[in-house]
Amino acid sequence: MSLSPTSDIVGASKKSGGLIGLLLVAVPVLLIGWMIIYPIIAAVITTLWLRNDAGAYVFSTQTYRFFFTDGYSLANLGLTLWTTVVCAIILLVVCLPIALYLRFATGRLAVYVQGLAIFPLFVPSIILSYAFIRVLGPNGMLDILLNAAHLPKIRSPYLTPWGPVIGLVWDHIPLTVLILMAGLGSVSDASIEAAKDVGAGPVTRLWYIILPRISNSILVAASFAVLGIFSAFTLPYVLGPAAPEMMGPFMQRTFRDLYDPPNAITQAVVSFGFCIVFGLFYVRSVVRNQRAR
Amino acid sequence: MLLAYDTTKLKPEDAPKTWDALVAWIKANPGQFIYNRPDKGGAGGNFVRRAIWEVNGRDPSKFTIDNYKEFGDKALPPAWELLKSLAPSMMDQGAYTSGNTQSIQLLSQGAVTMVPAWSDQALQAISTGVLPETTGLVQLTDLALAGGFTKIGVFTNGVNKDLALKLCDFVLTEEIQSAVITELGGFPGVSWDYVSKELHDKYKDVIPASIPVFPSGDWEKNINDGWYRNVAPNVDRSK
Repeated sequence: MSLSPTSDIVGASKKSGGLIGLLLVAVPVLLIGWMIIYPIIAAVITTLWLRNDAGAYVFSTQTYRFFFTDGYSLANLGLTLWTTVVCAIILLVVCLPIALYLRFATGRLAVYVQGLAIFPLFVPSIILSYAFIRVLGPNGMLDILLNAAHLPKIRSPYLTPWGPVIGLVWDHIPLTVLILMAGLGSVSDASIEAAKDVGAGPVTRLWYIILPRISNSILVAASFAVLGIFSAFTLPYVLGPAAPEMMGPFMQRTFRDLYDPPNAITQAVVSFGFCIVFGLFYVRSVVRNQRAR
Repeated sequence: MLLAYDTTKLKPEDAPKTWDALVAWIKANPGQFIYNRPDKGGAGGNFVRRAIWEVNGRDPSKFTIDNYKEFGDKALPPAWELLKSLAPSMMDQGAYTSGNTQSIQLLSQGAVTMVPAWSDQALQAISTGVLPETTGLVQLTDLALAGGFTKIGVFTNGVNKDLALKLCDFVLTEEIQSAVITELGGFPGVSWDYVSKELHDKYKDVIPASIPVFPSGDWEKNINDGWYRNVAPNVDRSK
């Protein structure tokens, strides 16, 4: 967006318009600097300059070496990556059809479907966790329904790695659907109709008309999901297994229960390292999007 | 800390009252017991601490706030072996809930038959209907599951010191101490001579002769970390 029309109206020069723009963005930029950039730098410094036995601070990669040689820590990192990848794939597989349906459907049913898809946004994850135990836990609602239909009980995903996966996917459906729908907004009805007129089937239309236009949105949706899931806390805490555990509960436990801030911060920096890769994907796609305009 | 169980599946007279009987019951009834991770709530934490006492001669006096350095490496590994041997008999071959509340929820859903629980939380759950009326409570009599005392401190130079002492007097009255037993399932802060004999006889199953307390200090973080590194992983839950 450009500020030039405003400056034309008030008759101010271009230069002061730029100044107003800078002032407008100053608050969020300062907040990001203070609450995000500074803690990142501080965290990296605290994990690399450790106090030795003599009480002096010296450069040391000890906590990182411990993390990357400790089987237990690596298993936790592995589980976190597995959960993130599995959730991202399931989210796209589940949300793309919903978004496509909502983009092209009309009528009352679509309104209800949209309401249902957005609903998880308003459910706090702690409530979701306990509801999960009630529904999918052992002897939960699903087991009761299966029993009523004379079917065997399920092997409950509660306290296994699939518990957090199911919870996190449900929790992230609204954001993913909204981002994909925003992307689908740029697919014009005319291009779909044109493809239909020349005889393109639904799969061809999806593959050659729709997907290329929303590839950016898919990337953004995936990045958001990955960032949210990698650092998830409540759902893995309540629903996941005791070991291996995801990085969120692992960090909190190291910090609060083992009284070990240096190693907890090291785990945080390692997690940040993985998340920044996906963050860069997102930034790149936003920049590419703006250039395209 | 005591054990809450489902009396429709386990008759009160058969409920284990010693550690050995509890272990025998757990192994004879695989999948019917679960305790929470020791750092995520006192119920599981004190169950783990009871196991540590068990393999160290059942003598809480051996553990002091500052003797982890000398005693820790000797005291903890046998307890991890004991707890690991119980893992295959836990719910889902080695699942551990992440809090006192989740264990109670599993008990209320009938997914397990017995869980360690805080006496006050279990009694409250029964009175609010979260746990059914048929829930039984039992304490181990050979050595009780560890508990913690509630402390009230009064500043000697406090502005309202006299009022604070008055409150302490009130808390120590027979009325309140009886309520600690009946309403909270807690252990009285005064000698049994100061509460009625009827109460003592009625609650003797859940209230032990004394409440052992496990020291914190370095023990706490090493028990927490040791459990996560030794007991929680290496379980085969695929069956």
